[in-house]
Amino acid sequence: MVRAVLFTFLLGGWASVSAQLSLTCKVLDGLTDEPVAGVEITTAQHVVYAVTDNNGTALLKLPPGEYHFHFTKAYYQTAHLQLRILHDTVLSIKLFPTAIQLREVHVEDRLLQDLNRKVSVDVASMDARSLAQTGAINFADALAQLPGLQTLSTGVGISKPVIRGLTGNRVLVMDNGVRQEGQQWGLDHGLEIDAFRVQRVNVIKGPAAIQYGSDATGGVIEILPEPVPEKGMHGTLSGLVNSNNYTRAVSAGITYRKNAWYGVGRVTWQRYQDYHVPATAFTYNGFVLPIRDNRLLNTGGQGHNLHALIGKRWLRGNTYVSFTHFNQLAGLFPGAIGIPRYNDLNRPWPDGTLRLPMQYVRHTRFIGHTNLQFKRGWLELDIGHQRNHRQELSPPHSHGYELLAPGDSLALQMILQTNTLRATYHTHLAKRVELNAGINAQTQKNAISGFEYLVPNYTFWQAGGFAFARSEITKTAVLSLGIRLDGAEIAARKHEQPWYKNPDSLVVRTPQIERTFLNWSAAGGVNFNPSETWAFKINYARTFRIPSVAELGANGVHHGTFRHEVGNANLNPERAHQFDAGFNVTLPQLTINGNAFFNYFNAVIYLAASGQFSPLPDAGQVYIYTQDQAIHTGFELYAAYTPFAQVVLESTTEYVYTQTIANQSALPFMPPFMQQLKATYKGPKKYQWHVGITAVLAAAQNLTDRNEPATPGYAIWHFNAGYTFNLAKTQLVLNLIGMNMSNTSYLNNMSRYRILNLPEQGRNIMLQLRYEF
Amino acid sequence: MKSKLILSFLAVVTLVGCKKEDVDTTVPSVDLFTINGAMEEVTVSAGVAFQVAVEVSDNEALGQFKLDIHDDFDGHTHGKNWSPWDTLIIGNISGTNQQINLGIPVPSWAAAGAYHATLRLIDARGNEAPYQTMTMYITNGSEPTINLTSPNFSSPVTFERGMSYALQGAISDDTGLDEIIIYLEEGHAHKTAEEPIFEFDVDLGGSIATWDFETDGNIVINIPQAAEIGDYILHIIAKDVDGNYGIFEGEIEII
Repeated sequence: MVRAVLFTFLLGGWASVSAQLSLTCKVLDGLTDEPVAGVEITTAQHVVYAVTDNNGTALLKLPPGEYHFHFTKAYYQTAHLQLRILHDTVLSIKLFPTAIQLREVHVEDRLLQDLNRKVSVDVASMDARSLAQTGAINFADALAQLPGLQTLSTGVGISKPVIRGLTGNRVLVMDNGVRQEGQQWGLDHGLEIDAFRVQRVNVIKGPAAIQYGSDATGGVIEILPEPVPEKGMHGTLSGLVNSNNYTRAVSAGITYRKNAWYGVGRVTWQRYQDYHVPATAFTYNGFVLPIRDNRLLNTGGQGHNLHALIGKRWLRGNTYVSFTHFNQLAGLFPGAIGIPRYNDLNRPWPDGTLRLPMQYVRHTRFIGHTNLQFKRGWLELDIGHQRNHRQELSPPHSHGYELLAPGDSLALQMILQTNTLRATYHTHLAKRVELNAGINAQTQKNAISGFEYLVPNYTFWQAGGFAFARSEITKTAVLSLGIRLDGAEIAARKHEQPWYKNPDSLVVRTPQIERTFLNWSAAGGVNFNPSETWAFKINYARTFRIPSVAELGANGVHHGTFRHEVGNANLNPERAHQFDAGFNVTLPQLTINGNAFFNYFNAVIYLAASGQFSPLPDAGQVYIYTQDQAIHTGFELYAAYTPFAQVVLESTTEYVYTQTIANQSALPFMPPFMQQLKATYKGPKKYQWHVGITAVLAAAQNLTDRNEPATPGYAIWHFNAGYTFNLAKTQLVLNLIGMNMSNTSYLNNMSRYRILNLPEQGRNIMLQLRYEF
Repeated sequence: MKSKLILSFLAVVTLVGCKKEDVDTTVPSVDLFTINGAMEEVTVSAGVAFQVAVEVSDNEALGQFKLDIHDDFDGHTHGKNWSPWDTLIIGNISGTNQQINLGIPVPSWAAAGAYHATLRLIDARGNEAPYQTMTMYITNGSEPTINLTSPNFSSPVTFERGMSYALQGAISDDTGLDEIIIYLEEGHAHKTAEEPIFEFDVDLGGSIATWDFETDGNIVINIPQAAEIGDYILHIIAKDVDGNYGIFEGEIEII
């Protein structure tokens, strides 16, 4: 597939080893021998980035060493080359056009497909443009377009990513090499990432614990490091408005590079008001409660995000430091905090004003990233500091004390500070044996306040090391093997507080907790790629996840639920055997990609009904974190068919089944059986427009946890159209997106408002604009 | 290692293959919940005990009930002599049918106003019955007095669509009135979700002791021509500076 012809000229044997060498790449069309312009040349570690000119030529300056190059361009098959460069080199590469008609209209990411041919778990990917095309201002919502991904949402403002029904600490979000830490155990704790900032994200479905961290048993959302920008000043300006909750979002980003130095900056601002639902009332517990003007009260929000990065390419690597700030204030439907009351909901509120209850989140992060090129490999080094400041604001009489200062609305505050260190070395042991080995370490400190209580003050540290090898054992088979060892310690301070009725009393809410954990994970997989058409993969992983602080030490009424959630300080790590298998078939007019998974948890941690009421006022039953054996299985099937040029028909099918063994119930918040059908018509290449419609069919979800209501099925449809204008060297992309076009009233079992029988967002027309210069 | 893997895989397959046990997921039910014999709303006096009667049942085994009483006041004011009252009772119950009778004293310092009494029930397995809520009005003699002379609710009141009606009478309080809310809405006990056809809200800040519907508020209710015919409730809520609420509810038929 890769036909590279290498000419090496010795331009004077005196070239010093430490000096920069020049690599001249000439890229030709494999069929016509014409030069190919606009081919991107990258190394895996982004140390080098170049684009071929009109003569098909690009000049790269490199220190001596071993490199892995990718040559990519739309409508061409990607070429890879492993090369040790010790002298000035001239390289001639032939790229072959994709003979497949499908590519004409459905430009697939070749890099991703190649990645999937050697990685033994399934990887999906989105870039800045495809994220923008979803019209979502929320990063987790944008990702939910991918097969096997869903969100757990609280209204429209707060969303967390879900992979195959697993979420929270089981899904690791890796942002620029640093794991995102924002109390992700909380079901109404959204992801603190600016969707506009992400340039490319890879989603690993299934266990990826070895390289990323032992708790990544459900999967990893990996926001890739910023590529070194092109020379000069470039930027994007994005704007979004919508009809449903009057969202206004603006994001401006610039990149600049002069010689070795470069910088990236971005500012995002957004506001949205109460969202519309296709209902004027909802029935809860026998009471019909009003939804005035079809709008859910107090579901608006606002936010702003900042990002700044400064970097330098140098002889043997690339270094950058970045600063990110995420700021979100989101209103919560007052009926979702405590019992929904007629009088709270039937009050006219001035439009656009946010009131209690609210959630206020600020996430600030500093990252330092370095790549170091060595003769035999390269080292990736990431350090990070993040501060997650989370506030739940609610009226003081909800479930607190008697003696509160009037106007004190700070129900719960958690400030979590995390320091992260990660070092990974990538090398080749032999010609076809790739090795990644690394270490990572993390320390955390959580400080709480507020008149409610949920989790204790705690400190946590974790350190681990791994080795992961991948080998092309034959021309068609790739073997992957990895092992990881992790140690961790969590120390939670005993928390006592006065009983709400008696200010002089002291009640222990969480005992002193000191736990250490030491455990190993291992994974092995095989990819079998007998031809360009067929690819198969199978993977096994033995994983474990250290219990989160909430699982060990929570004791409080979760804000937003009626449940009184209680941790268990003696929980064991959550261990699992995880099996994955997948296939891919690529024919001229048809692509089919299927993935199935079977996970057996020896000791899944979940909240189980205790059969005891909470002694706290206005709280329901006590739910205790319990361990049980469980099965988690399912599949995703994706097919794209091109009956004629310009027309693509796509189908996505997803299914998840869970069952706990002792409790004999399903795990909560699992996605229903979903079928999505999409038809897209793309204008001829030079016109650059497309229109499409999508039908989403969800089956009823009757596999529920105890006391979790069954949810009926639904069918909705969406519309999208896009046009790209080329203006000189700049580009303007316009997208018109219509969601839930029939304004159907339906329930989503993965919404926190489902328990109230609140329907999902109604018809929503979005206009999205993106200007790249 | 490999054989262990295969073994665990086999174990899983066996577990999946096992026939499901019959695990109880049937929710228990509240068959009766009354306070002083009333089923939806009731008025009780501070300093006097009221009687709660509950009948519950479950297919297998009952677990616990929880009775939670607290105020439904708007805001968080505490008076000098009166405070919002709350109480919480959790009881263990067993068997498949139970009758529970409780006598609960209301303290003499309880602030007057609307309270909620919420009854929750779970069975021994933790299956939750839908909770039930009753509205309880507590009076203590110090709440504002609402004296409506027109319309006269001693006989059935009928309003005609398209017509206007002036409210007459006065609200008085010995410590000073803080806020008055008046609204007219369809239905009974919030079982419908129609918006009120008349709303009025005034902050008085405790400056006056008597407030006249006509001269101070000029309260005239216009019944829209498009209003649905049926039974409506006129709500009048008056709050004094001590945190006591005086509440009046009167039924009006709109024709």
